[in-house]
Formats: sequence, C-alpha cells, structure tokens
Amino acid sequence: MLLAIWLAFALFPIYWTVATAFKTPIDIYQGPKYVPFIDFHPTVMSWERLFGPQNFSFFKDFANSLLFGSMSALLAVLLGAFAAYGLAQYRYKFGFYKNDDIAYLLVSQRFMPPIVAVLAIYITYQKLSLLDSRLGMILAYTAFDLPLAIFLLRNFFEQIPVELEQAAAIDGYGKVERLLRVVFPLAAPGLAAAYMICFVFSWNDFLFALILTFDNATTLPIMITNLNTQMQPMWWLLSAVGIVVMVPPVIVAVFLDRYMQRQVLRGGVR
Amino acid sequence: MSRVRLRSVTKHYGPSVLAVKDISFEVADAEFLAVLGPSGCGKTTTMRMIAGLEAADAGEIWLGERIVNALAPAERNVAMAFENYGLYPHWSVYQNIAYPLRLRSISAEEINTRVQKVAKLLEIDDILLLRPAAISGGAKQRVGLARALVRSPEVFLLDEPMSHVDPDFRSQMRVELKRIQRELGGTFIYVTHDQLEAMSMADRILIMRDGVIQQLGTPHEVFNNPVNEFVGGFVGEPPMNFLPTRIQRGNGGVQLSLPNGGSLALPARYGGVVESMAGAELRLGIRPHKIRIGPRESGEGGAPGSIYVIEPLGDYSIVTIKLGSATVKVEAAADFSGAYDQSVQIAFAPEDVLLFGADGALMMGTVAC
Amino acid sequence: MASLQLTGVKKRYESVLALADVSFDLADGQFMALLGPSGAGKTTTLKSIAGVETPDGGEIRIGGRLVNDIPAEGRNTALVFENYALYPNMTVYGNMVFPLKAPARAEKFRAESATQRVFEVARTLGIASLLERRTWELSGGQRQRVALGRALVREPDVFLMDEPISHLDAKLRFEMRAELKRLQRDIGVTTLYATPDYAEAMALADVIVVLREGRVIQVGTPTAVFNRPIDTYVAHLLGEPHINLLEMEIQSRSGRLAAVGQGVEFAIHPSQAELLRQRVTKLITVGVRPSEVLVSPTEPDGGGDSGTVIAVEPRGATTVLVVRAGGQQVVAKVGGEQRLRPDSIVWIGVKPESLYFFERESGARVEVPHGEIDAAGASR
Repeated sequence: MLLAIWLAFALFPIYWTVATAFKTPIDIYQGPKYVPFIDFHPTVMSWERLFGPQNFSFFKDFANSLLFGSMSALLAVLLGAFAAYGLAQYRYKFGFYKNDDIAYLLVSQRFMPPIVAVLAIYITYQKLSLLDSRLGMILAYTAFDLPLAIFLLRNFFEQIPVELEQAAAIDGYGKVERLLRVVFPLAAPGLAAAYMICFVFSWNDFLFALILTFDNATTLPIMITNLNTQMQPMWWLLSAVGIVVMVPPVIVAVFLDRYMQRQVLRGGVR
Repeated sequence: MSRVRLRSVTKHYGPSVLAVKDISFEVADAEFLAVLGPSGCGKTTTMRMIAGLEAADAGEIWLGERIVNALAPAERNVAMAFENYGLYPHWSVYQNIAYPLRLRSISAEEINTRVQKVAKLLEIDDILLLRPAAISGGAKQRVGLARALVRSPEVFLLDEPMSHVDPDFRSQMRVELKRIQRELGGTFIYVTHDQLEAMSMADRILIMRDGVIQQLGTPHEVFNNPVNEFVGGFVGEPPMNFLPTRIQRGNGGVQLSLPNGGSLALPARYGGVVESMAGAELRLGIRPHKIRIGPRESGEGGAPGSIYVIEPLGDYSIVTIKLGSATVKVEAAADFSGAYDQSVQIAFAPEDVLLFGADGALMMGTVAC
Repeated sequence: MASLQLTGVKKRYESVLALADVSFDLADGQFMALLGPSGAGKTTTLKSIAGVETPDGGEIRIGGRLVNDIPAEGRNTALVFENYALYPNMTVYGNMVFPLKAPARAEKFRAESATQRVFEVARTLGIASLLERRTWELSGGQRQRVALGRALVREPDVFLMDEPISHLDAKLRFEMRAELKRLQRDIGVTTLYATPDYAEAMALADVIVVLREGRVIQVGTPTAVFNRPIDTYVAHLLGEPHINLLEMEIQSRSGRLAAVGQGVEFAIHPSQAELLRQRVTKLITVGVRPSEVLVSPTEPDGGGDSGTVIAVEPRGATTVLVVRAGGQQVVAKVGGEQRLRPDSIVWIGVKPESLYFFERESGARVEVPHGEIDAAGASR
C-alpha cells in the first residue's frame, strides 16, 4: 500500500511531462489539467514543431547526445577494462606506488567537482582548436567516465578466478586472445553495468556541453535550456524534448539488462 | 538420566522438501551413537532438532524423562560442537571455552581448572590467549570441541567436529574423544558422513538416507548383517561388491548364477526360501576381503574374469577384475602381481555371501546369521 | 608424448619459498605421483611445468627440449585443475573443443576432425550425452570428467593433474581411482599426478616423488617407498594407520641385541646385529607398521610385552587396537573382529624382521639387511 503511494508520487512528474507534451500553450497556461481527453484535447503540435523545418536544432542536438554518450561510454569501458584487468591480476610497483595507490590515483580524478577541471579544459581546447568539436566532446566525456569505469570494473575482474585464464593459456591461447575470449565474456555483467552508467553520465551532462560547445556540438540538455525564452519557458516543447531525453537510456538499459543478469561465474570453478 | 529418545519425528523444509521422515530411535545412557549417512540424508537436521535449534513438525523428542520439544536449547542442557566452529570472534580462545561455565555461576578457579584441563586434553593450551581469527581451522574445531566438553551436560551433540582437522591428528583425536566419553560417562551423539569414523568410535551406528533410518546397530551388525544394499555398500572400505544373480538349477543342484558364466552353490540358510526367489532378479553382495584370486576349491563358487587394474596399497592390494561386463574388487596380498587383461579366476565361499532383492532389501534366510 | 625432466627448480612467492630445489625425471608414458601435504609445492610444480608460473631457477625439459622460456601456449601440456576451471560461458562441447581451436593447433585439428575428436574422448569418459549442457548444470563427478576430457582431447606431451578427485565423495573417488589408472594405461600419456593422499599415489603411480616444503625427499616405486622409506617423515606419510615410531635404545641381552624403551622390548634379528652392534646404548627410533604388530590375549611362550588396550576401533574386515605397553603407545591392526574391550590385558610382539630403525636426530633410516628369517633366531 505504502509502495503504491510512493510509486504514484515518484511517477507523477513523468506522467505530467508526458501529458504536457501533448497540450497546447493555452491549455498549459489555463491551469493544471490532469487527464487527457477529459480536461484537455491532446495535440501533436509540439511534436510537429520539433520534427519540422524550424526545429530548434533538435535533430542535431539529439544526434550529438547520442554520439557522445555511446562513444564515450564505449571508449571508457574498453580502455577501463584493460586497466581494471591489469589492476586486478597483476601486482604493480612503481617506486612505492602499488596497485591500490595507482587505483586511488585514477579514481580520485573524480573527487573534484568537474567545474574545476572544465575551465582548464576550455583553455586547452582553445589552444588545440577543439572547442565546439565533436571529437573534443567525446574525449572529454571519455576522460571523465574512465575513472568510474575502472573503479566498477576492477571489482568484477578481481572476482574472476585466475585459473580460468591459466587454463586458456595452457589450452594454447595468447594473452590478448585469452582476454577477449575468456576473461571479458566472464566480466560481461560488469562491462554492461559500466557502459550503462557511463552512458547515462555523458548523456545527462550539462556543464561540459555548456562551456565547451556553442553551435556545432551542442547536446539535448543545451537545447532544453535554449527553450527558456525571455518570456516564459516553452513548456510544451520542453516536455517533448524531456521525453526524448528520457527514452534512450531506458532502451540501453533494457538491451544490456540480459547481460547484467547472467550469473556468469557459476560452474566455472568448483 | 541422559537417555535420548525420538518418536515418530518428522521435519519439512518448505512444502516440497521432506528432511526427516517419521524417525524413531533411542540412545542409551552413556552411549556413543554415530549418525551416519551421505550429505543431505537428514542427519544434521535430526541433531539440530535434538539440540532445539530446529523444531520438529511432528513427533516427540525426549531427553531423560522429559519431552523437550517446546524447550529452548539453553533449557535442554545439551552441549554442541559444530562443523563450522561457531566461535565468538571477539573473545579469546580461553573466554570462548569458559563462556558456558560463566553462565552457570561456577567459581573462577573452578572455571580455570576445567578450561585448562580440557585445553590440555585437546592440545590447545598454548593458544588460549589468541583470538579465533589467529588460529587455524583445525585448531578452531578443537576449540569448539573443548567448549562443548567443558560442561557436564546430559547429552553431547557433535556435528562433524573433526572434518577440518589435519588427518594425522584426527586419528589421535578419535582415541581421545572416545576416552573422554568413557571417563565422563556422557551420552554422545556424533554426526558424520565418514563411515570409518563411525565404525571406529561408535557403540552403535544409526544409518540414515533421504530422511529415513536405514539401520541402527553395532558396528559388527551393520557390517556383517546390513539390512539393505545401501547399508552394505556404504559401510566398509573397500566397499562391498554387488553382482547380478538368479537361481538356476544345475548339475550340482540349486545354484546362484554369477556373471561371465560363473556359479555358486546356494548358501545353506536360503535353502528353505528358494521357491520364493526362483525367477527373481537378485543381487549378490560379497566383500572384497572374502574373495580369493585363484581356481575354486571344493565348496566354493567362482567365475572367470580378467584383470582390469591392480592398485598396490602397501600392506595389501586392490585388484579390479572384470567378469564380462560386471566388475569386482578383490583385496589381495601386497605383492600381488599380474598383467593387464590377464585371465584369472575368482573364488569365494557361499556363506560369505548376502543376497538382496530387487528392492535392495536383504533377503532373510531360514537360519539367523 | 614425451619425457619430462626437472632440474633444480626454484620458485619464490614474495616471502614464501614454494619450491626450494625440485628435480626428477619422468620417462615417456610413465605415471608419476607427486605426494605431499598442502603447501608442499605440488601445485606450484605443476603450474611451472605447464608454463603459467615462472620458476626463479632451474630447468624444465619436455621431450628433451628446454621449455623455460616458452610460454604456456607454446608447450603442449594439459592441466586438470583442482577446482576444474571449466569455462562457464561455454557448453561442455565448447569447453572440450576450445583447446583444439587454438592458433597453434588449429591446422592439426581442422573443423570436422576436431568435432570427431571431442566425441571420441567424450564417449570414452562417458559424458557424450552431456555435450550440450552448461557447466553449472553438472554434478561434481561430471565436471571432473569434463575437465579430464578437455585435457585429453589435445593429445598432450605431458598430462598434469592437480588433486583431480579430491572433491568427490568417498565412493566415487574410489571408483575413479581405478578408472584413471586404466585410462592412463590405455592412452599411454606421460602423466604427473599431484595428491596429498598416499593411497591414491600408491594405487595409481609407477613412480612416487615425495615432496616436502618444496624439496624432493624420496623418489621410487610405490613398493620401494613403502617398504624402504628414506626417513621417518616418509615412513609416517605412507600407511594407514600410521607407522608406530617408538623411542628406544639398543641394548645387549646375553649376546643378542634388543631394542628397549619404556618397558617394551623387541628382539633384533641376528642378521642385523652386525650393523647395529656399534650402536649399543645409543638412542634410536624404531618403526613398526601396525599390521606387523602381533596381539595375543594370552601370554605367548617365550614371553612378550604386556599392555592394556586403550581403544578398539572396528573397521569391518580389520580392527585397530591402541595398546599402552609400558610407557609406549602402540597401534596394531589385526584381521577380523575382536572380542577385546578397552582395559583388557594383552601381549604384543613383533617379528624381528619387521622392525625399521631410524636415526634419533635426523630421522634417516638405518639400512639393515632384511634377508630371510632363520628359524632359530625367531622370537624372544
């Protein structure tokens, strides 16, 4: 019972957004209207505006968000997997830096608020002509997703018994082959989870997009801000974009869910 | 005053899992009873019900003259030692062992004396001040045992208390434990899956399988007169051989067939019941040390076969012999030698044989064994 | 199929010296057992031979070829891990065909012959019906056979097994022992089998290597190691119940020698007297196997040592008696069933030719002739 009340409470904003996306401006300003077809007449006006010619750069921003999110997550997970594997399976010693020290060094990148770093990145990018570039954004997002990915993945790799990789070596497979065919598949839940989290972080980011882009490489969160006109926010368009922003992470999650569910390590080691 | 009795005790785990089914048995005062069976047979559940850690769904559990079903473990005056130690990690070994005594307002000197005595007995007197985390698994088990032994309860319940102890020390501990039991005069119920442990220590053995009692008897009884194939094959190592057989009428009168064309005279005690067995598929049980490799002598039965594998074990050898598609394992002399697939004969006496029906139960003859 | 030689192999893990100096030769097609308790260095030795651990010193040769610098993928070995290490993301078939698809072997086992080979091995091991299953659906015994199968499909030069049956229940272990021995004999592959269980080592191997704390203590056939142990450690390791090791002294008894200690006395065989005569009044450790201790409820002619029975352990076909004689505790294994009870008085005796003698400090065995008995020089 309590759960139902809480659920209703939590889901209401989403419902409201969806409903608002189908209202006319007049409907919105006239006061709260809750139920479609009873309180108000749903319209696809907002959607026509978004997909039409004068679309406030909707397609561009959507494509950018998608590109940045998926690519940076992919790179972060791939690079992070190798790094995490290294930290999990080998014992390093650089001077007096051991494994845990290296890990701390990497993960602590995320301790500071990104706003501190973003100024430095701005200046650097200016020099490198990477401002407002797609490549620049992907690199920046990857850099900030990487520590997170390593942190998550290291744990997963530590759980894989070293004998499985040794068995693959004795079976005749070289280092890289072993990683790709045996170790990584076993870490699939971790890889999927890490991808998911990195994607969402990059997808939702506002700060980097705000500071490091102005025209070409803008993303959906920027677009939403742009819809705040001088008079009033254009709620109807905002809501529509909001729905669009919510959907892709859900799709990614659903797709990756089956990888995350597998109890992959059962039966491998006694 | 420390008899233990179970009457028609049953226990379920959930709707579909029947852990213990309608078991009844009695443990005499000062008896050492081993509860023996493969994992999952219900032995630990039974012990936990006697201890009061699990409630029986049906039946009565008696300790002495009391029905204790409704009593909490502390009220039953039983001592327990577990397979996984159950030690208090924040206390030293000394404190762990002393704990049961502290609850019973015994003087500090008396506690100290008893703890030291028991610790010396189990050779843990040098680690009394350490914490459980600092000692080995085998030592932890000994501490668990010490904690159980330090009281003088009516009944001692031990659940595979030596499974992690070093095998060398285990045989010594068996002797010590038996001696302690005799000295204390306590009733010990010892749960194990190791038939050697059960045979070595117990006055009587309770054999369980799938929640049902198979047999309750002395080591001699369960070894020589197993009530079914399961008990016959479970007790004794090397395990009993089982061969398919049936009644046949041959030139020597009524006989039992053996694989690969062999035959055996019908053991005398089955003479009276031969009619009821005719035509049935029976199983013949014969222990490895009762079989001889060589041509049969008068009165013996035998069969031809070939050597499959020879395993020399120091003071004797185990020879696996194929009789057609059947296999027997024979205990032979330490220096037995032979070639792979060499043709040999095996021979044994009819009176050393046990017959089991298709349902696995022992076929009783007309003369008691 | 190839021979295997280890010479002076050393391996250190941080502060632990796992292998101090391991050397032995294994001939082509032979079955060798590495016997020792956990921590003795068995797994480290196997993994060094397989190439997944790198020794700090020494040489490993397979088929005469030095393989120290060849990575695991390049050595044609197979290892059955103690915990099987099956790939959970593949079916049984996938697991077994995996080694055949490795780059080094891919051309030798082209597609169809690889499948055929897997079926062949699966059939031999009785797991042909399980090929489509996932590893977590299998029982312990089945998993063990899959691990064996995965090792055998590739026709290795050296076949390594690390306690492969230790996690099976007693009955299954017993059956698998005989099966493994026969299998190795039929296939003929050079095999190295690590185990802490002396019975497994004796039953299976042509040669036993006793390993202790990273060192080879003794190498020999099962009979040799059992009957002529090099020291008290090896004597104690093999045999169940353990050999009795009694602290005694050699003394002269009217021209003959006897081992005497804490109220127990054993006559020494005249043929051994020569070698032991110099040790009169010297301390010595006497070894007697429980199966060689004679127990009688009545005093035998010629006398004997009397003692009290402390424990009676029936085992079915035999009975183990623990007897306290004088200040010594002696374990005897006698045939059949006994009517003896604790606190009974019995007499124990030992045939002189059954005695072993070991140095008191080092534990090394003193070689004495174990020739034929001479009827005149029998019991005391």
